[in-house]
Amino acid sequence: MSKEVTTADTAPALTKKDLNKAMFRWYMSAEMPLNFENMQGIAFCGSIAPILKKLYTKKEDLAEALKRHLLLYNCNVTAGGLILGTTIAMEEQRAKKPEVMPAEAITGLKTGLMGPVAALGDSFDWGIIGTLFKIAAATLAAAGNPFAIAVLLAFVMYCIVELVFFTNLTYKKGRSSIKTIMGSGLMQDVISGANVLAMFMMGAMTASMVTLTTPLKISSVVIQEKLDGIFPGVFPLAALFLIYYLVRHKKIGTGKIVIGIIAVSILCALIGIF
Amino acid sequence: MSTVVIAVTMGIMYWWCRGMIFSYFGFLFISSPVTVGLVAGLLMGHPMQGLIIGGGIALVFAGIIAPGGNLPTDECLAATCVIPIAIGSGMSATTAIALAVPVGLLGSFVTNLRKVVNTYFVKKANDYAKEGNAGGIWRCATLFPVLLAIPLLFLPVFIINMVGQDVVVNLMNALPTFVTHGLEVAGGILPALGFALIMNMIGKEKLIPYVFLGYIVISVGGINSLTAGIIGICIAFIYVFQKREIMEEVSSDE
Repeated sequence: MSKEVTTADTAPALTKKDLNKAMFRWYMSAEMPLNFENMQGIAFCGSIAPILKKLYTKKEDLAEALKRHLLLYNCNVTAGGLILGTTIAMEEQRAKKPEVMPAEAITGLKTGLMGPVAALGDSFDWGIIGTLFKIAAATLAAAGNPFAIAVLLAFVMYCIVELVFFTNLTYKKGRSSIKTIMGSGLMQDVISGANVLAMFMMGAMTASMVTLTTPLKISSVVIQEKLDGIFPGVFPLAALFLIYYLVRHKKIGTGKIVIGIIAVSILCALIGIF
Repeated sequence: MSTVVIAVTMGIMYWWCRGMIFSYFGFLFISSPVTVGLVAGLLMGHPMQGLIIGGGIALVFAGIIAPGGNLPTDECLAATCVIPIAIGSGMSATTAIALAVPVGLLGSFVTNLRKVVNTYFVKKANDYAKEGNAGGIWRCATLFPVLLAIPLLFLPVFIINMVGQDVVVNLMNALPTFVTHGLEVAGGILPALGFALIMNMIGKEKLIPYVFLGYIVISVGGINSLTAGIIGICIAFIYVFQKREIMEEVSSDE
């Protein structure tokens, strides 16, 4: 009599160790099996496979869960901690009570949120924070300062901390938390503020990093000096907006633009414009 | 140190970074021309020169990010192929940077090829899933793609480093000056592509005035990047607070 227990009680609870293992596996493998068919799908499935194995003791349940996580997944690795933690929490719930947590809800959340979360990670972490760190490191190195290495490592650490923080937060608070976080007024403010900062810095960095000057002279008048008198360094800004126009409105691929830049540069060097 | 050791080290670094072992550690740290430059420099007995050339190459590529993992041009391929040759032949940093630009282009081809070849493991992983074989899927995620990346990523860099020096030095000497100068010009423009890609990703045309503002603060104001960053943060805060205030006023009127 006393041995009769419901499935809800037998489903094993996950420990902190399981969560850490999943994070470690995810950080290690996320981009390794990257492919055009399911992008990071194999890595996501492989990372939470030990957890699924622990949660689903029946073989067919496990097979179903593994197949579910082999579907297409592509997200920023460390901001993706938001999805990793949520998914683990949802799978844990499903293992206990499959009727309250349908498989479609898990897949739906993953595919629905990978876009916005990737946008957060790619534009905020990489586009702004990462670019600033990279520029700082490159500038130091170009001046012969080995401290550049430490600057690079600091950004690596920032990303790891982000992954650990987001995964733990969303795992503990469960499914509703990621929607609260992504949809909260604070997050919207952070993103719109970050966008303004990023746009500002794109202009600032164009001024400090893009170099384009003309050696042209008309009789004894140095054209670059005249231009600088009107609007200092107008060429880099013009180049930025020309490229932006081609990317955004002409939808030209980046590979073609790089080749175009090289071709036009060599041509202009031949004529002597730049 | 012998050429073989250097070629093997460069091959391993490229394999590690584009095989994306330990994702962002490989993708950001190992792949950085700064790291590659320092390692190559240490092996060849010129750590400072390696660091300086690496820093120069890194500056050109710094703005290039990979939205959605699509790499437009590959700084790590450029660094692992160009830096040892540049140090070995006593090339100037400017020439090394000019050479790095076209080499970086080939990288996007290699990384895309890897994504095509890796699709093979999707099928294999699905077979393992049907059997409920969690370990098999983990091997598809780690061991197999990493092994496959050896001929794809390690080998080309190894070969270029083994045979490259004479070929590249002769090639660079044979090129007319307008080509090498043109490549230097392109190196100066390329960061703008990275910035344009970030602007496109943010996708808010009405924020373009802030680009001008940032540009003017540095080019006309002559302020350094760090101070410009602080000004940018202040502007971002003002923008957000203003927006919130307007929202609150509108909602209290209703």
